[in-house]
Amino acid sequence: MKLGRRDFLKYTIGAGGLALLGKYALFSRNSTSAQASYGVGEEPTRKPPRKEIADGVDTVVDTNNKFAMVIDVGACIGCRMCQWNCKAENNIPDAIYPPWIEVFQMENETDMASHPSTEELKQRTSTSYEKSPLEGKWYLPVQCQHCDNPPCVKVCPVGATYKDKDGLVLMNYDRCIGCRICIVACPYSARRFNWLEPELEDGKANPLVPVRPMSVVEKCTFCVHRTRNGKLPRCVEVCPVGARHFGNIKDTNSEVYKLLKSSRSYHLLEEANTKPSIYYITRGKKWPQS
Amino acid sequence: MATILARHKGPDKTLVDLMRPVTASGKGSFFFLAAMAALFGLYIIVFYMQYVYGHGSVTDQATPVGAAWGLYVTGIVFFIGISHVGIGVSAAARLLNLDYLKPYARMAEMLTLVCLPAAVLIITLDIGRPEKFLINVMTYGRIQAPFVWSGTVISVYLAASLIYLYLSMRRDITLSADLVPEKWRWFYRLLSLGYKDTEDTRHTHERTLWWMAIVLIPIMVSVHSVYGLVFGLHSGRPGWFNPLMAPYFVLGALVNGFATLVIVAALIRRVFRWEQYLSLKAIRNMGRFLCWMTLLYIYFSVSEYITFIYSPPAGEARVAHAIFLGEFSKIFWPTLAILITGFLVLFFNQTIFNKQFALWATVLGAVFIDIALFLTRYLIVVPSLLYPLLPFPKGSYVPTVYEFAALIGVFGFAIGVYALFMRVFPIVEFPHPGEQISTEANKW
Repeated sequence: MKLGRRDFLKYTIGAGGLALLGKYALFSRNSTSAQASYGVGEEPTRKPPRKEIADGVDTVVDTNNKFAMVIDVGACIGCRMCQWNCKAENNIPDAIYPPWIEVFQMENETDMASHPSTEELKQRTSTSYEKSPLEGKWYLPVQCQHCDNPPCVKVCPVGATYKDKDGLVLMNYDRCIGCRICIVACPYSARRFNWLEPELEDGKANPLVPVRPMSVVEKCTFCVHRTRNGKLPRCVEVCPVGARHFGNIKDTNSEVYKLLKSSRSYHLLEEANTKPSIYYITRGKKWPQS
Repeated sequence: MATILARHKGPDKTLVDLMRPVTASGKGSFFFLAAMAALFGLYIIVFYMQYVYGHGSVTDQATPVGAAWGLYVTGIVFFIGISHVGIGVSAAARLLNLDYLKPYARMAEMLTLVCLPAAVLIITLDIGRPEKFLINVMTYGRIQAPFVWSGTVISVYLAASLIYLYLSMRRDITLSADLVPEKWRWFYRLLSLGYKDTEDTRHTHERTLWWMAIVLIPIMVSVHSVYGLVFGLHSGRPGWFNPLMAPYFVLGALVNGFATLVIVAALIRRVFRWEQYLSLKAIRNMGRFLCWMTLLYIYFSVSEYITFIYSPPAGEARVAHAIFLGEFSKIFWPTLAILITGFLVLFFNQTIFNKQFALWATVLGAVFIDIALFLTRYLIVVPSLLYPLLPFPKGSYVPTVYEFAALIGVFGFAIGVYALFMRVFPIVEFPHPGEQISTEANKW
């Protein structure tokens, strides 16, 4: 058969069109079901139980919810109960250090808006302090901010990390390919990577939380297994001074809503335009000053 | 007109000479290939260790404090950079009718075809779960993600380059069949897919290649732009977030690629004693182009550094301090010195004293530039990752022996495959009938 240039073009375009058609036929089913489960204002849908290792498997996404956390840095005494309880609750192996929550001991003069020099920072900020609270210091707990404009979700090549309609930024560990671009993108350094095979003490794993495989990224989930079932995240529950508050910010009767109405709040690294779901407030120091 | 197809007269002398790497290679070439394969073995070993025990057991990468990307990513950018040049030289030569570059075209194309897979090898090495890598990107790929763009452009570039290379050497494969020992003829006949060397087919192939060249050049620019964007799009990474990244990377790739091409061309010319086919003029002109591109690269770098130093935001100031005065100054200043030395060597050799032009000096300049470019990439990737915006303690990153070993393994792969190609196919395009390969080519 003699194939002229015109025929060649015709066939190429035809084949391309067929391929596109095939793609839509194949994937359209998936995309509609994804819309159904994340659609705004729809009935709460139960995520189907999956065999996948992922956050929030078998939980309900309630689109009337928008989870937020308020951390009162004036009240925080830097005890790190949140850090270690989170570690136990969420099956975080020892190899991941710091765990999902990190608490900084800050000098009074050091504020997040301006960075001191490297030297200064080394001297003044500490994550390895042994005694707290100390006079003249304040404490800043940091974890995944569950941003409304999450840079990590934007860059993920496979959609392994995604934003749910109730404000949670979660991981699907089965999809994660371990490229670590989300770690690079996160301005809060909130993401952790399983550089080694995660090892947990036998029988100590929380059955509600997936045990992650090696070479995937993980981070704070706002304890999705608890919060979507009406409980508080573990860090909020264990805070001995009530520095952490959690709730549905869409609900005008919720504690977080009232706190944010009544006090000044700030976000970490506001200039990053990530619109975090964690608000920091301070209502003055509550702990006794000696 | 010397008809090279006059088979009754026996094959043309030029062709026989150009087929020497294929027909006249001795045991040495096998030892060389075996050595390269052994080097590649290093890659396999590191890959296996990583796959079984995790990246943490082999590399010094760490999160959140430390480098999430390190030497591997530097290697990826380096190889993608080199891969840039091949089709670029060949396409530019075709579009601009630069006939003197023609004998170098295939060397350049092969650089592309060797370095792209090399880069993919390192990507596979860097990625945590290589077994899920391709499947998940195909199944769940998000078009908004820079890594999906890079996957797309790399595969398009690789496919287009392969077709381009094949079309441009189909005639040579056909002619080779008559030049190789009897037992290998079937292989070349099979690969030529029934090519008949007539005026008409040559013309068709030339036209197709000309159109492909037009399509390939924008793809080539896109490939490295995407690599710039992989870094330049993160507002949360001090030192990366700037619009210069894409053009900066494209330019870096051009410099990197041309430097490598000059080195490879000079080596091949020398090893096979092909002085009469590979004109010095072409190398001199490539060197001259490389010289000005390097100057432009230095200009780009300096404008980036000025922005970096003059009144940077706090997070960026810390990275700038580390690079210019702090821990990375040990690498930064020597890198800058090497780059400028490379430029000066080329500048004096190619322009000021071009009557006394010396090939060794061009190659030396190119080697300097290649080394500087590798180190520059390292300085782009690593320091920004060690200085988080929140007051985490400063991280550290020193590439381990394993990381270097894996990278050397990939170099072994690239050099080995290149040598293997030369062992099988002619690396210099056979002259078309009527074309003169002048023994006077060394004069200009």
